[in-house]
Amino acid sequence: MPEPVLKLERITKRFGGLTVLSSVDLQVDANQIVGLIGPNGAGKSTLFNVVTALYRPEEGIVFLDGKRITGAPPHRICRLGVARTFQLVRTYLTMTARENVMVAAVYGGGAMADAGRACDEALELVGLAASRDLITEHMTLSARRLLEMARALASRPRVILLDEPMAGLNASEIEEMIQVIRRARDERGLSVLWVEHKVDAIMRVCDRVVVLDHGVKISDGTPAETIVNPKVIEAYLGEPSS
Amino acid sequence: MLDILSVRLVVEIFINGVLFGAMYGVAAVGLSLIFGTMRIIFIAQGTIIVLAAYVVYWLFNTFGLDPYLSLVVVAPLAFATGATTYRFLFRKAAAMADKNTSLLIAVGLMFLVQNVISFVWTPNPKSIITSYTAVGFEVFGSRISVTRSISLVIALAATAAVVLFLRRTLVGKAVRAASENMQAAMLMGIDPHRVNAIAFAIGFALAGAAGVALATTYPFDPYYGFSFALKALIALALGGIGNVVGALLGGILLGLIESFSSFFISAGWADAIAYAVFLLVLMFRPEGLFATSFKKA
Repeated sequence: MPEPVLKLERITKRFGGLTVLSSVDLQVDANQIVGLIGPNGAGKSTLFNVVTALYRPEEGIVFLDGKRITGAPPHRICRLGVARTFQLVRTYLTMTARENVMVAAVYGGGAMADAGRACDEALELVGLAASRDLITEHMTLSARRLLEMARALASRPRVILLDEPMAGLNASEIEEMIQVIRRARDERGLSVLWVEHKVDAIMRVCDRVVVLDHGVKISDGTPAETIVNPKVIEAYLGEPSS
Repeated sequence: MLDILSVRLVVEIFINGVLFGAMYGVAAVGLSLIFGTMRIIFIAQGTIIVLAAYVVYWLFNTFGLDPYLSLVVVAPLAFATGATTYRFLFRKAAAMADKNTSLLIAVGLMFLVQNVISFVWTPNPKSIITSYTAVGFEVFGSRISVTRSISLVIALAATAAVVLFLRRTLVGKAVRAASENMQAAMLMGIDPHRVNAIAFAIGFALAGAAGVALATTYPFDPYYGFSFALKALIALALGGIGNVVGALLGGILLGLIESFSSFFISAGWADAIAYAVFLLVLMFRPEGLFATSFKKA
Protein backbone atom coordinates (compact mmCIF):
# COMPACT_ATOMS: atom_id res chain seq x y z
CA MET A 1 0.00 0.00 0.00
CA PRO A 2 1.36 3.44 -0.86
CA GLU A 3 2.38 5.76 1.95
CA PRO A 4 -0.34 8.26 2.95
CA VAL A 5 0.62 11.88 2.19
CA LEU A 6 -0.41 13.16 5.60
CA LYS A 7 -0.73 10.97 8.63
CA LEU A 8 -1.56 11.96 12.19
CA GLU A 9 -0.87 9.41 14.86
CA ARG A 10 -2.57 9.60 18.28
CA ILE A 11 -2.51 13.40 18.46
CA THR A 12 -3.40 14.77 21.88
CA LYS A 13 -3.52 18.50 22.56
CA ARG A 14 -4.45 20.05 25.89
CA PHE A 15 -4.87 23.63 26.96
CA GLY A 16 -4.35 23.56 30.70
CA GLY A 17 -6.83 20.98 31.99
CA LEU A 18 -8.92 21.00 28.83
CA THR A 19 -8.25 18.22 26.35
CA VAL A 20 -9.06 19.63 22.91
CA LEU A 21 -7.79 16.70 20.86
CA SER A 22 -7.73 13.27 22.33
CA SER A 23 -5.59 10.65 20.63
CA VAL A 24 -6.78 11.49 17.12
CA ASP A 25 -5.61 9.35 14.19
CA LEU A 26 -6.17 10.69 10.73
CA GLN A 27 -4.74 10.11 7.29
CA VAL A 28 -4.99 11.70 3.88
CA ASP A 29 -3.94 9.54 0.94
CA ALA A 30 -2.47 10.77 -2.31
CA ASN A 31 -5.00 12.54 -4.53
CA GLN A 32 -7.69 12.39 -1.89
CA ILE A 33 -10.00 15.11 -0.67
CA VAL A 34 -10.77 14.44 2.98
CA GLY A 35 -13.44 16.43 4.77
CA LEU A 36 -13.13 17.22 8.46
CA ILE A 37 -16.37 18.18 10.13
CA GLY A 38 -17.77 18.43 13.60
CA PRO A 39 -19.79 20.77 15.81
CA ASN A 40 -18.24 24.00 17.12
CA GLY A 41 -15.44 23.32 19.56
CA ALA A 42 -14.80 19.86 18.17
CA GLY A 43 -11.09 20.65 17.72
CA LYS A 44 -10.93 21.09 13.94
CA SER A 45 -8.95 24.34 13.93
CA THR A 46 -6.72 23.06 16.74
CA LEU A 47 -5.91 20.05 14.60
CA PHE A 48 -4.86 22.34 11.74
CA ASN A 49 -2.72 24.35 14.12
CA VAL A 50 -1.02 21.18 15.32
CA VAL A 51 -0.25 20.06 11.75
CA THR A 52 1.18 23.48 10.82
CA ALA A 53 3.16 23.60 14.10
CA LEU A 54 1.50 26.70 15.48
CA TYR A 55 0.68 24.40 18.40
CA ARG A 56 2.85 21.65 19.73
CA PRO A 57 0.87 18.51 20.63
CA GLU A 58 1.30 16.94 24.06
CA GLU A 59 1.37 13.53 22.44
CA GLY A 60 1.39 12.10 18.96
CA ILE A 61 3.28 12.49 15.71
CA VAL A 62 2.51 14.07 12.34
CA PHE A 63 4.03 12.42 9.27
CA LEU A 64 4.32 13.90 5.78
CA ASP A 65 5.09 11.27 3.12
CA GLY A 66 6.15 8.95 5.90
CA LYS A 67 8.60 11.43 7.40
CA ARG A 68 8.05 12.83 10.86
CA ILE A 69 7.47 16.60 10.78
CA THR A 70 6.40 17.20 14.38
CA GLY A 71 8.82 19.58 16.06
CA ALA A 72 9.83 21.53 12.95
CA PRO A 73 8.99 25.28 13.04
CA PRO A 74 5.99 26.53 11.00
CA HIS A 75 8.01 27.97 8.10
CA ARG A 76 9.80 24.62 7.67
CA ILE A 77 6.50 22.72 7.66
CA CYS A 78 5.36 24.96 4.82
CA ARG A 79 8.55 24.38 2.86
CA LEU A 80 8.25 20.64 3.41
CA GLY A 81 4.91 20.73 1.61
CA VAL A 82 1.99 21.64 3.87
CA ALA A 83 0.04 24.73 2.78
CA ARG A 84 -3.04 26.17 4.43
CA THR A 85 -5.74 28.79 4.12
CA PHE A 86 -7.42 30.59 6.99
CA GLN A 87 -10.96 30.78 8.28
CA LEU A 88 -10.52 34.54 8.64
CA VAL A 89 -8.70 35.45 5.45
CA ARG A 90 -5.15 36.65 5.94
CA THR A 91 -4.22 38.01 2.57
CA TYR A 92 -1.71 40.86 2.63
CA LEU A 93 -3.97 43.82 2.06
CA THR A 94 -1.38 46.33 0.90
CA MET A 95 -0.01 44.08 -1.82
CA THR A 96 -1.38 43.22 -5.22
CA ALA A 97 -2.86 39.79 -5.85
CA ARG A 98 0.24 38.69 -7.70
CA GLU A 99 2.57 39.97 -4.98
CA ASN A 100 0.62 37.98 -2.41
CA VAL A 101 1.06 34.82 -4.42
CA MET A 102 4.67 35.67 -5.23
CA VAL A 103 5.61 35.76 -1.54
CA ALA A 104 4.38 32.19 -1.17
CA ALA A 105 5.99 31.09 -4.44
CA VAL A 106 9.38 32.45 -3.39
CA TYR A 107 9.45 31.48 0.27
CA GLY A 108 7.17 28.46 0.22
CA GLY A 109 9.78 25.94 -0.78
CA GLY A 110 9.74 25.49 -4.54
CA ALA A 111 12.70 26.30 -6.78
CA MET A 112 13.32 30.04 -7.07
CA ALA A 113 13.64 29.83 -10.86
CA ASP A 114 10.08 28.53 -11.16
CA ALA A 115 8.54 31.02 -8.73
CA GLY A 116 7.16 33.33 -11.42
CA ARG A 117 5.59 30.48 -13.35
CA ALA A 118 4.17 28.82 -10.21
CA CYS A 119 2.67 32.16 -9.28
CA ASP A 120 0.96 32.69 -12.63
CA GLU A 121 -0.26 29.11 -12.84
CA ALA A 122 -1.79 29.34 -9.36
CA LEU A 123 -3.61 32.57 -10.25
CA GLU A 124 -4.79 30.93 -13.47
CA LEU A 125 -6.09 27.85 -11.65
CA VAL A 126 -8.22 29.83 -9.20
CA GLY A 127 -9.44 32.15 -11.97
CA LEU A 128 -7.82 35.34 -10.73
CA ALA A 129 -5.41 35.83 -13.63
CA ALA A 130 -7.29 38.95 -14.73
CA SER A 131 -7.13 40.59 -11.27
CA ARG A 132 -3.45 39.93 -10.72
CA ASP A 133 -2.52 43.59 -10.38
CA LEU A 134 -5.41 44.54 -8.11
CA ILE A 135 -4.50 45.70 -4.58
CA THR A 136 -5.94 43.06 -2.28
CA GLU A 137 -7.68 45.61 -0.09
CA HIS A 138 -10.04 46.27 -2.99
CA MET A 139 -10.95 42.64 -3.58
CA THR A 140 -14.19 40.95 -2.46
CA LEU A 141 -14.21 38.28 0.23
CA SER A 142 -14.68 35.49 -2.27
CA ALA A 143 -11.77 36.79 -4.39
CA ARG A 144 -9.61 36.95 -1.27
CA ARG A 145 -10.52 33.37 -0.39
CA LEU A 146 -9.54 32.32 -3.92
CA LEU A 147 -6.35 34.33 -3.53
CA GLU A 148 -5.48 32.44 -0.35
CA MET A 149 -6.04 29.27 -2.33
CA ALA A 150 -3.67 30.53 -5.05
CA ARG A 151 -1.12 31.44 -2.41
CA ALA A 152 -1.32 27.95 -0.97
CA LEU A 153 -0.93 26.41 -4.45
CA ALA A 154 2.03 28.62 -5.32
CA SER A 155 4.06 27.24 -2.44
CA ARG A 156 3.90 23.95 -4.38
CA PRO A 157 2.67 21.79 -1.52
CA ARG A 158 1.95 18.08 -1.19
CA VAL A 159 -1.18 18.68 0.85
CA ILE A 160 -3.41 21.72 1.35
CA LEU A 161 -5.32 22.35 4.56
CA LEU A 162 -8.45 24.40 3.90
CA ASP A 163 -9.98 26.10 6.92
CA GLU A 164 -13.62 26.85 6.08
CA PRO A 165 -13.00 28.19 2.57
CA MET A 166 -16.76 28.58 2.02
CA ALA A 167 -17.45 30.77 5.05
CA GLY A 168 -19.26 33.93 4.04
CA LEU A 169 -19.62 32.93 0.37
CA ASN A 170 -22.92 32.87 -1.54
CA ALA A 171 -24.24 29.90 -3.51
CA SER A 172 -22.52 30.70 -6.82
CA GLU A 173 -19.25 31.55 -5.10
CA ILE A 174 -19.43 28.22 -3.28
CA GLU A 175 -19.80 26.42 -6.62
CA GLU A 176 -16.76 28.28 -7.92
CA MET A 177 -14.72 27.31 -4.85
CA ILE A 178 -15.75 23.66 -5.22
CA GLN A 179 -14.52 23.71 -8.82
CA VAL A 180 -11.22 25.22 -7.69
CA ILE A 181 -10.73 22.57 -5.00
CA ARG A 182 -11.47 19.79 -7.52
CA ARG A 183 -9.10 21.33 -10.06
CA ALA A 184 -6.35 21.56 -7.44
CA ARG A 185 -6.70 17.85 -6.85
CA ASP A 186 -7.19 16.75 -10.46
CA GLU A 187 -4.70 19.04 -12.22
CA ARG A 188 -2.06 19.26 -9.51
CA GLY A 189 -2.41 15.84 -7.96
CA LEU A 190 -2.74 17.42 -4.54
CA SER A 191 -4.21 16.00 -1.39
CA VAL A 192 -6.68 18.13 0.50
CA LEU A 193 -7.78 18.19 4.12
CA TRP A 194 -10.81 20.39 4.34
CA VAL A 195 -12.58 21.75 7.42
CA GLU A 196 -16.05 22.98 6.63
CA HIS A 197 -19.37 23.83 8.24
CA LYS A 198 -21.21 23.56 4.93
CA VAL A 199 -21.74 19.82 5.29
CA ASP A 200 -23.59 19.39 1.98
CA ALA A 201 -20.55 20.66 0.06
CA ILE A 202 -18.30 18.25 1.96
CA MET A 203 -20.60 15.32 1.22
CA ARG A 204 -20.66 16.13 -2.50
CA VAL A 205 -16.94 16.58 -3.01
CA CYS A 206 -14.98 14.51 -0.50
CA ASP A 207 -13.64 11.00 -0.93
CA ARG A 208 -13.64 10.50 2.80
CA VAL A 209 -15.12 12.34 5.75
CA VAL A 210 -13.73 12.43 9.29
CA VAL A 211 -15.97 13.64 12.11
CA LEU A 212 -14.64 15.07 15.35
CA ASP A 213 -16.69 15.71 18.46
CA HIS A 214 -15.20 17.17 21.64
CA GLY A 215 -11.72 16.28 20.46
CA VAL A 216 -12.52 12.63 19.72
CA LYS A 217 -12.78 11.08 16.28
CA ILE A 218 -16.25 9.56 16.11
CA SER A 219 -16.43 8.61 12.44
CA ASP A 220 -14.13 8.05 9.47
CA GLY A 221 -15.51 6.81 6.16
CA THR A 222 -17.12 7.63 2.85
CA PRO A 223 -19.76 10.37 2.80
CA ALA A 224 -22.48 7.71 2.43
CA GLU A 225 -21.22 5.86 5.49
CA THR A 226 -20.89 9.08 7.47
CA ILE A 227 -24.43 10.34 7.08
CA VAL A 228 -25.94 7.14 8.42
CA ASN A 229 -23.50 6.80 11.35
CA PRO A 230 -25.62 7.11 14.52
CA LYS A 231 -22.76 8.75 16.44
CA VAL A 232 -22.56 11.51 13.84
CA ILE A 233 -26.30 12.08 13.92
CA GLU A 234 -26.18 12.24 17.68
CA ALA A 235 -23.31 14.72 17.71
CA TYR A 236 -25.12 17.02 15.33
CA LEU A 237 -28.71 16.62 16.44
CA GLY A 238 -28.45 15.42 20.04
CA GLU A 239 -29.55 12.13 21.56
CA PRO A 240 -32.83 10.68 20.34
CA SER A 241 -35.45 11.29 23.04
CA SER A 242 -36.65 7.72 23.20
CA MET B 1 5.11 90.29 19.92
CA LEU B 2 3.73 90.44 16.42
CA ASP B 3 5.83 93.43 15.50
CA ILE B 4 9.03 91.40 15.65
CA LEU B 5 7.53 88.87 13.28
CA SER B 6 8.55 88.89 9.71
CA VAL B 7 8.21 86.53 6.83
CA ARG B 8 11.92 85.87 7.03
CA LEU B 9 11.68 84.74 10.62
CA VAL B 10 8.72 82.45 9.97
CA VAL B 11 10.56 80.90 7.04
CA GLU B 12 13.56 80.28 9.25
CA ILE B 13 11.48 78.68 12.00
CA PHE B 14 9.79 76.55 9.39
CA ILE B 15 13.02 75.38 7.81
CA ASN B 16 14.60 74.59 11.15
CA GLY B 17 11.52 72.61 12.12
CA VAL B 18 11.67 70.57 8.90
CA LEU B 19 15.39 69.93 9.22
CA PHE B 20 15.24 68.78 12.82
CA GLY B 21 12.01 66.89 12.28
CA ALA B 22 13.59 64.87 9.47
CA MET B 23 15.86 63.30 12.08
CA TYR B 24 12.87 62.32 14.21
CA GLY B 25 11.43 60.93 11.00
CA VAL B 26 14.38 58.64 10.28
CA ALA B 27 14.28 57.39 13.86
CA ALA B 28 10.55 56.77 13.47
CA VAL B 29 11.06 54.81 10.22
CA GLY B 30 13.41 52.51 12.15
CA LEU B 31 10.86 52.10 14.94
CA SER B 32 8.18 51.38 12.38
CA LEU B 33 10.17 48.59 10.71
CA ILE B 34 11.08 46.88 13.97
CA PHE B 35 7.56 47.28 15.31
CA GLY B 36 6.25 45.77 12.08
CA THR B 37 7.80 42.36 12.51
CA MET B 38 8.55 42.27 16.27
CA ARG B 39 5.46 44.05 17.62
CA ILE B 40 7.49 45.99 20.18
CA ILE B 41 8.42 49.65 20.46
CA PHE B 42 12.20 49.47 20.21
CA ILE B 43 12.83 52.07 22.88
CA ALA B 44 16.62 51.86 22.49
CA GLN B 45 16.44 53.31 18.94
CA GLY B 46 17.29 56.85 20.11
CA THR B 47 20.23 55.63 22.15
CA ILE B 48 21.56 53.66 19.16
CA ILE B 49 21.39 56.91 17.17
CA VAL B 50 23.39 58.66 19.91
CA LEU B 51 25.88 55.78 19.93
CA ALA B 52 26.30 56.20 16.17
CA ALA B 53 26.86 59.93 16.73
CA TYR B 54 29.63 59.09 19.22
CA VAL B 55 31.24 56.71 16.75
CA VAL B 56 31.18 59.46 14.12
CA TYR B 57 32.68 61.82 16.70
CA TRP B 58 35.40 59.31 17.53
CA LEU B 59 36.26 58.65 13.87
CA PHE B 60 36.46 62.41 13.31
CA ASN B 61 38.68 63.16 16.29
CA THR B 62 40.91 60.10 16.06
CA PHE B 63 41.36 59.65 12.32
CA GLY B 64 40.18 63.02 11.06
CA LEU B 65 37.50 61.21 9.04
CA ASP B 66 34.93 63.62 7.64
CA PRO B 67 31.59 62.98 9.41
CA TYR B 68 29.67 62.61 6.15
CA LEU B 69 32.30 60.32 4.71
CA SER B 70 32.06 58.22 7.87
CA LEU B 71 28.55 57.23 6.78
CA VAL B 72 30.12 54.59 4.52
CA VAL B 73 31.68 53.02 7.61
CA VAL B 74 28.93 53.67 10.15
CA ALA B 75 25.90 52.51 8.13
CA PRO B 76 27.24 49.03 7.23
CA LEU B 77 28.66 48.65 10.75
CA ALA B 78 25.28 49.54 12.22
CA PHE B 79 23.56 47.13 9.82
CA ALA B 80 25.74 44.25 11.00
CA THR B 81 25.35 45.31 14.64
CA GLY B 82 21.57 45.29 14.24
CA ALA B 83 21.49 41.74 12.90
CA THR B 84 23.90 40.61 15.64
CA THR B 85 21.88 42.33 18.36
CA TYR B 86 18.78 40.49 17.22
CA ARG B 87 20.63 37.19 17.09
CA PHE B 88 22.03 37.42 20.60
CA LEU B 89 19.50 39.50 22.54
CA PHE B 90 16.09 39.12 20.94
CA ARG B 91 15.97 35.82 19.08
CA LYS B 92 14.75 33.78 22.01
CA ALA B 93 12.33 36.39 23.32
CA ALA B 94 10.86 37.00 19.85
CA ALA B 95 9.50 33.46 19.75
CA MET B 96 7.46 34.06 22.91
CA ALA B 97 3.84 35.09 22.70
CA ASP B 98 4.40 37.62 25.49
CA LYS B 99 6.09 40.67 23.98
CA ASN B 100 7.00 42.22 27.33
CA THR B 101 10.26 40.29 27.50
CA SER B 102 11.44 41.78 24.21
CA LEU B 103 10.41 45.23 25.39
CA LEU B 104 12.33 44.84 28.65
CA ILE B 105 15.41 43.66 26.75
CA ALA B 106 15.19 46.85 24.68
CA VAL B 107 14.97 48.93 27.86
CA GLY B 108 17.97 47.09 29.33
CA LEU B 109 19.93 47.58 26.11
CA MET B 110 19.17 51.29 26.20
CA PHE B 111 20.52 51.72 29.75
CA LEU B 112 23.53 49.55 29.02
CA VAL B 113 24.49 51.57 25.94
CA GLN B 114 23.90 54.87 27.77
CA ASN B 115 26.23 53.87 30.55
CA VAL B 116 28.88 52.45 28.27
CA ILE B 117 28.88 55.71 26.30
CA SER B 118 29.16 57.84 29.41
CA PHE B 119 32.00 55.63 30.68
CA VAL B 120 33.93 55.74 27.42
CA TRP B 121 33.30 59.34 26.38
CA THR B 122 32.27 60.97 29.73
CA PRO B 123 28.73 62.29 30.30
CA ASN B 124 29.64 65.77 29.00
CA PRO B 125 27.96 66.93 25.80
CA LYS B 126 30.00 66.60 22.63
CA SER B 127 29.76 68.19 19.24
CA ILE B 128 31.67 68.06 15.98
CA ILE B 129 33.03 71.29 14.62
CA THR B 130 34.24 71.05 11.03
CA SER B 131 35.42 73.76 8.69
CA TYR B 132 31.93 73.93 7.17
CA THR B 133 29.83 73.71 10.35
CA ALA B 134 29.12 77.44 10.39
CA VAL B 135 28.64 77.76 6.63
CA GLY B 136 25.20 78.65 5.39
CA PHE B 137 23.45 79.89 2.30
CA GLU B 138 20.65 82.33 1.71
CA VAL B 139 17.22 81.44 0.40
CA PHE B 140 14.67 84.27 0.13
CA GLY B 141 16.76 86.25 2.57
CA SER B 142 16.78 83.45 5.17
CA ARG B 143 20.00 81.84 6.21
CA ILE B 144 20.08 78.06 6.05
CA SER B 145 22.81 75.93 7.53
CA VAL B 146 24.60 73.61 5.12
CA THR B 147 25.00 70.79 7.65
CA ARG B 148 21.30 70.79 8.51
CA SER B 149 20.40 70.72 4.84
CA ILE B 150 22.66 67.74 4.30
CA SER B 151 20.95 66.06 7.27
CA LEU B 152 17.63 66.53 5.52
CA VAL B 153 19.02 65.01 2.34
CA ILE B 154 20.33 62.03 4.31
CA ALA B 155 16.93 61.56 5.96
CA LEU B 156 15.06 61.69 2.64
CA ALA B 157 17.52 59.38 0.89
CA ALA B 158 17.45 56.83 3.75
CA THR B 159 13.66 56.76 3.80
CA ALA B 160 13.48 56.46 0.02
CA ALA B 161 15.92 53.55 0.15
CA VAL B 162 13.78 51.76 2.74
CA VAL B 163 10.59 52.34 0.75
CA LEU B 164 12.20 50.99 -2.42
CA PHE B 165 13.53 47.99 -0.51
CA LEU B 166 10.09 47.17 0.89
CA ARG B 167 8.24 47.66 -2.38
CA ARG B 168 10.65 46.31 -4.94
CA THR B 169 12.67 43.48 -3.44
CA LEU B 170 11.48 40.00 -2.54
CA VAL B 171 13.09 40.22 0.90
CA GLY B 172 11.28 43.52 1.37
CA LYS B 173 8.00 41.84 0.47
CA ALA B 174 8.69 39.14 3.03
CA VAL B 175 9.20 41.86 5.66
CA ARG B 176 5.90 43.46 4.62
CA ALA B 177 4.13 40.11 4.70
CA ALA B 178 5.48 39.41 8.19
CA SER B 179 4.45 42.89 9.33
CA GLU B 180 0.88 42.37 8.16
CA ASN B 181 0.55 38.94 9.68
CA MET B 182 3.47 36.99 11.07
CA GLN B 183 1.52 33.74 11.46
CA ALA B 184 0.33 33.72 7.88
CA ALA B 185 3.84 34.62 6.73
CA MET B 186 5.37 31.74 8.68
CA LEU B 187 2.88 29.32 7.15
CA MET B 188 4.02 30.56 3.77
CA GLY B 189 7.59 29.56 4.46
CA ILE B 190 8.98 32.85 5.76
CA ASP B 191 11.49 32.36 8.57
CA PRO B 192 10.42 34.76 11.34
CA HIS B 193 13.96 35.09 12.68
CA ARG B 194 15.22 36.11 9.29
CA VAL B 195 12.72 38.94 8.78
CA ASN B 196 13.19 40.10 12.38
CA ALA B 197 16.96 40.20 11.89
CA ILE B 198 16.51 42.18 8.66
CA ALA B 199 14.19 44.66 10.39
CA PHE B 200 16.77 45.13 13.14
CA ALA B 201 19.64 45.47 10.68
CA ILE B 202 17.84 48.14 8.65
CA GLY B 203 16.58 49.86 11.81
CA PHE B 204 20.16 50.10 13.08
CA ALA B 205 21.48 51.24 9.69
CA LEU B 206 18.90 54.03 9.76
CA ALA B 207 20.07 54.87 13.28
CA GLY B 208 23.58 55.10 11.83
CA ALA B 209 22.41 57.59 9.20
CA ALA B 210 20.49 59.58 11.82
CA GLY B 211 23.60 59.49 14.03
CA VAL B 212 25.64 61.16 11.29
CA ALA B 213 22.91 63.77 10.85
CA LEU B 214 22.77 64.39 14.61
CA ALA B 215 26.54 64.53 15.13
CA THR B 216 27.00 67.18 12.45
CA THR B 217 24.18 69.49 13.51
CA TYR B 218 23.61 69.43 17.29
CA PRO B 219 25.51 68.75 20.49
CA PHE B 220 24.67 65.37 22.03
CA ASP B 221 25.20 63.58 25.35
CA PRO B 222 24.79 59.92 26.39
CA TYR B 223 21.30 60.40 27.85
CA TYR B 224 19.81 62.27 24.93
CA GLY B 225 18.72 59.04 23.24
CA PHE B 226 15.74 58.25 25.43
CA SER B 227 13.91 61.50 24.78
CA PHE B 228 14.86 61.12 21.12
CA ALA B 229 13.16 57.71 21.06
CA LEU B 230 10.06 59.20 22.67
CA LYS B 231 9.97 61.87 19.98
CA ALA B 232 10.33 59.19 17.33
CA LEU B 233 7.38 57.41 18.95
CA ILE B 234 5.29 60.58 18.62
CA ALA B 235 6.36 60.86 14.98
CA LEU B 236 5.31 57.24 14.50
CA ALA B 237 1.88 57.92 16.00
CA LEU B 238 1.42 61.02 13.84
CA GLY B 239 2.35 59.11 10.71
CA GLY B 240 0.43 55.96 11.49
CA ILE B 241 2.12 52.78 12.68
CA GLY B 242 3.30 50.66 9.80
CA ASN B 243 3.44 53.52 7.32
CA VAL B 244 7.08 54.25 6.42
CA VAL B 245 6.54 57.46 4.48
CA GLY B 246 4.02 58.54 7.14
CA ALA B 247 6.69 58.07 9.81
CA LEU B 248 9.03 60.48 8.02
CA LEU B 249 6.23 63.01 7.48
CA GLY B 250 5.19 62.57 11.13
CA GLY B 251 8.74 63.39 12.20
CA ILE B 252 8.82 66.52 10.06
CA LEU B 253 5.43 67.60 11.40
CA LEU B 254 6.65 67.08 14.95
CA GLY B 255 9.77 69.14 14.21
CA LEU B 256 7.51 71.95 12.94
CA ILE B 257 5.23 71.77 15.97
CA GLU B 258 8.25 71.97 18.27
CA SER B 259 10.01 74.78 16.51
CA PHE B 260 6.87 76.93 16.18
CA SER B 261 5.76 76.33 19.74
CA SER B 262 9.21 77.07 21.17
CA PHE B 263 9.17 80.35 19.34
CA PHE B 264 5.58 81.48 19.85
CA ILE B 265 4.96 80.06 23.31
CA SER B 266 8.20 79.08 24.98
CA ALA B 267 10.88 76.46 24.64
CA GLY B 268 9.79 75.02 27.97
CA TRP B 269 6.34 74.26 26.60
CA ALA B 270 7.54 72.68 23.34
CA ASP B 271 7.86 69.18 24.81
CA ALA B 272 4.56 69.36 26.68
CA ILE B 273 2.81 70.43 23.49
CA ALA B 274 4.46 67.63 21.51
CA TYR B 275 3.21 65.02 23.99
CA ALA B 276 -0.25 66.59 24.09
CA VAL B 277 -0.43 66.29 20.29
CA PHE B 278 0.67 62.66 20.66
CA LEU B 279 -2.23 61.91 23.01
CA LEU B 280 -4.75 63.80 20.90
CA VAL B 281 -3.74 61.91 17.77
CA LEU B 282 -3.99 58.57 19.55
CA MET B 283 -7.41 59.49 20.89
CA PHE B 284 -8.96 60.85 17.73
CA ARG B 285 -6.97 59.48 14.82
CA PRO B 286 -5.16 56.34 15.96
CA GLU B 287 -4.58 55.31 12.35
CA GLY B 288 -2.28 58.34 11.91
CA LEU B 289 -2.79 61.64 10.13
CA PHE B 290 -1.75 60.46 6.69
CA ALA B 291 -3.74 57.24 6.37
CA THR B 292 -6.21 57.39 3.50
CA SER B 293 -8.40 54.64 4.87
CA PHE B 294 -8.52 52.89 8.20
CA LYS B 295 -7.81 49.20 7.82
CA LYS B 296 -9.73 47.22 10.35
CA ALA B 297 -8.57 43.84 9.14
